[in-house]
Amino acid sequence: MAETRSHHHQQHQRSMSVRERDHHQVMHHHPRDHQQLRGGHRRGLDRGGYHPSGASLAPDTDSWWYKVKEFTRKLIAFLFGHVGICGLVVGYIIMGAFAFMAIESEDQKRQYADVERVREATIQNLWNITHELNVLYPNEWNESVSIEVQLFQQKIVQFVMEGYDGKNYVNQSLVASRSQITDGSGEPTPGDAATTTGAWSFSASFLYCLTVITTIGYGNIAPRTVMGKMVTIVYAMVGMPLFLLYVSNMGDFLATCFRWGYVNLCKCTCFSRPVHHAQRGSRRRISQRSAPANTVRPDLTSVQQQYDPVVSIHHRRIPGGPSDFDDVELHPVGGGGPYDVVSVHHHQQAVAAAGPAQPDYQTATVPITISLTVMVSYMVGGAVLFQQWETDWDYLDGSYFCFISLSTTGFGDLVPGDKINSSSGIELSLIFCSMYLIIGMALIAMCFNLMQEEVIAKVRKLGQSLGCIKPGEE
Amino acid sequence: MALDRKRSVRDRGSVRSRGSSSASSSDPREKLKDCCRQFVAFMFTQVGVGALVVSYAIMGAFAFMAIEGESENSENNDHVAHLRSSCLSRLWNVTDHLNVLEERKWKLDVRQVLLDHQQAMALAIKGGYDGRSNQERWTFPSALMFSLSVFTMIGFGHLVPRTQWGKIATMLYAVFGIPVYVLYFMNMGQVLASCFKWFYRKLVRCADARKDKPLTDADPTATNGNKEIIGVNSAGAVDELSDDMDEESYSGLVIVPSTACLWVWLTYLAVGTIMFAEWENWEYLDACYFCVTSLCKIGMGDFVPGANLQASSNQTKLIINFVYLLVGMGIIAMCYNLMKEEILVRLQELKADLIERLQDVSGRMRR
Repeated sequence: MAETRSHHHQQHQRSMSVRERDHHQVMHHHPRDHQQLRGGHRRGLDRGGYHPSGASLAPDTDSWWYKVKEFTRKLIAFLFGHVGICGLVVGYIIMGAFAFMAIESEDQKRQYADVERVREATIQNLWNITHELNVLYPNEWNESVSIEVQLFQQKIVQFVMEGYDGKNYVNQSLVASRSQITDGSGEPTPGDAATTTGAWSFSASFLYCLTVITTIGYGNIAPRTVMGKMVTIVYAMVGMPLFLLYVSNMGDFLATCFRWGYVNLCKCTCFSRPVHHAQRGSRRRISQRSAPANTVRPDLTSVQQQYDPVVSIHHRRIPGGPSDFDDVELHPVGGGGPYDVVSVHHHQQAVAAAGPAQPDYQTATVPITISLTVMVSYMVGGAVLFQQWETDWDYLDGSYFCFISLSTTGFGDLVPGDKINSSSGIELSLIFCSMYLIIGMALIAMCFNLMQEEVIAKVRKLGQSLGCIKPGEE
Repeated sequence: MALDRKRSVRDRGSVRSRGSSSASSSDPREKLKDCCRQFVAFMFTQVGVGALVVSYAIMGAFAFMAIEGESENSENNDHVAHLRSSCLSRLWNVTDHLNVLEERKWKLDVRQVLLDHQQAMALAIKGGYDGRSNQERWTFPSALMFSLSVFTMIGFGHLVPRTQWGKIATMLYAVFGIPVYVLYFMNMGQVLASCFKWFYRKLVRCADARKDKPLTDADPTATNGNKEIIGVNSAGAVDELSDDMDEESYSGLVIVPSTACLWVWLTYLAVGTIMFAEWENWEYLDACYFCVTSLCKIGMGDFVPGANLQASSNQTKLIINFVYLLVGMGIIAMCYNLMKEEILVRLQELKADLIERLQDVSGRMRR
């Protein structure tokens, strides 16, 4: 053991500078200190890169292992923040779906029973009419029967207004008796397939809860019980702030991702190469020569002025997210080593000297047209998809539905999967619709985030020119 | 006219200020001038935006009445008539074909016919049939309610455009109307928030003034909601003196506690509940449910005041509903405005706390 320790010691002494060796020798004889040193290696950084004995990795910021650890730490924190909120929202909706399923299904069975009772009564009346007439004169019979059917129809209208969805609650005994007596017309009626769960199936309740907390509020199914209404009120009060939190978080995150992607994309395309090329060049120049900021400034500003209308560079702090990417990016340019820290500082100084106020990571402002394009294409994509899924929707209906839903208006006249003849596709299309809405809200928040500054600036200019808003107000 | 008055006040004020040597006599006049000017400009902006919103809604109502009301919904009515006649003919066929009228078999077949008819009817009703013609449905109050529900993004859905042009017009109306509404929302929020703050401050000062009189026997246990901010403790005299001294600087710091906003909103909700329950003969729960879902912009549409009954008698009621909803939005904006800072600060704290905890945990794990 002692030999190995001395071996390590020799190795370390060879790799360390004189100052550090003295330091190390002072600390070396206390074995307890080794753990202290290892644990406090970050403190050692301030003393100028102290290497704890026995450790094979250098704890300075340049080692890639350290970078990876930092990255994973930030990734975990970020995931905990953003994905946590997503999971919370989805969990809240699922919980609400189960609650509403439980609350409303009893009442729905009662409603189906009411409709069936009305129908049976009508049948009985019709039988009485038919039975009483000994000789079947068509006109007379038709008259009485049509009155009866008219009454039946009005009752159905009333039921549907109150929330009946037209489905049939299958009476098992009825199906059995029907199968016994066949007269050739034994094809399966669509009404049979509809369900013991009825309108408040899991996916329908899921969509309902989603529409409540996003304030879309279709209303194609709505709670009829007292309990259901009270639960809706409470659910909305708690769910809306939660959803707003989710939307703002996701909007911010997506906006920073988009900006980062846009900046990188701009670097690849030819028309903006000179700007970034100059900056890269300046970075390289700084890192190799450690030139003062003054010599760099004229180049940057002139180039920047030339390119302002196309890509305006703003200097803002990006919390978390792609700033780390920027960090990782800058290092390879500098080529590693002690110049990196210097280059970052100088770059920041140059950038600060060149542009307006805040000296921080640079980011490009995405032009309004791009955000608008993203929004419109998402709506058009949804329109096409829904038109494919729903049999009797055309493209106008699809885009109308997407627009009305994503603007959280939500009339409820067109809802995918709102068919009486339930096939297996309904559940899927409701879930798909929910996913579309959740993602769509986040995308729209992202677009608003991206457009925000420019729109506010333009509106303020417009207001000032119109004389509505005094400069300095709002 | 208001501008002239403003100018004359200003002129008089300036003359007076030139003539008088004492600053105190011109100070209140200056304040008054400033107040007047600010009030006029501010009123102009707020009133302008409010008028814009109302006129946009009215214009939209007329447009939708023209587009949807004029269109013949005959196809739907025809369809329903067709359904009924086909149902009748099927019934006749069933009855006719049986040589012997056996009850069970006949009933089975008739049941099937009625089931089909019922489902077809339900489909037709969902497609928009409700026994009325388009013109009866799209009256002016209903159209106004519809336009309101489009640009406030409530979206009741009890009345929807069925024609192609109607749908396109709705989308365009929303695209232009939503920014107008957002502008109104933010403006109303600021106006109401500043009014409320001023009112709150007055209330606080009144409560202060009342407490000033019995200074020596200051009641240490006198805490009402207002006193949260001022923090009167048993050594009440010293605090109140210092409060009076820097009242001006202090009044800027009066933060309306969130509970006050909540109380205002709950009161407004209660007023609406009682109003709608009385007028529409709804249950109190239903009226409350309607108020909450409308003010939160959810807008289910299963309860809409005055929508089911016919036209003219409910015009005033619909106008009042319209005003109620608009003012309600304003109150929500006010609450949002007042609570925004507090919420933001709390959120930041939460986030920082969470990240700190995570760093702690990860640091500990690394060692």
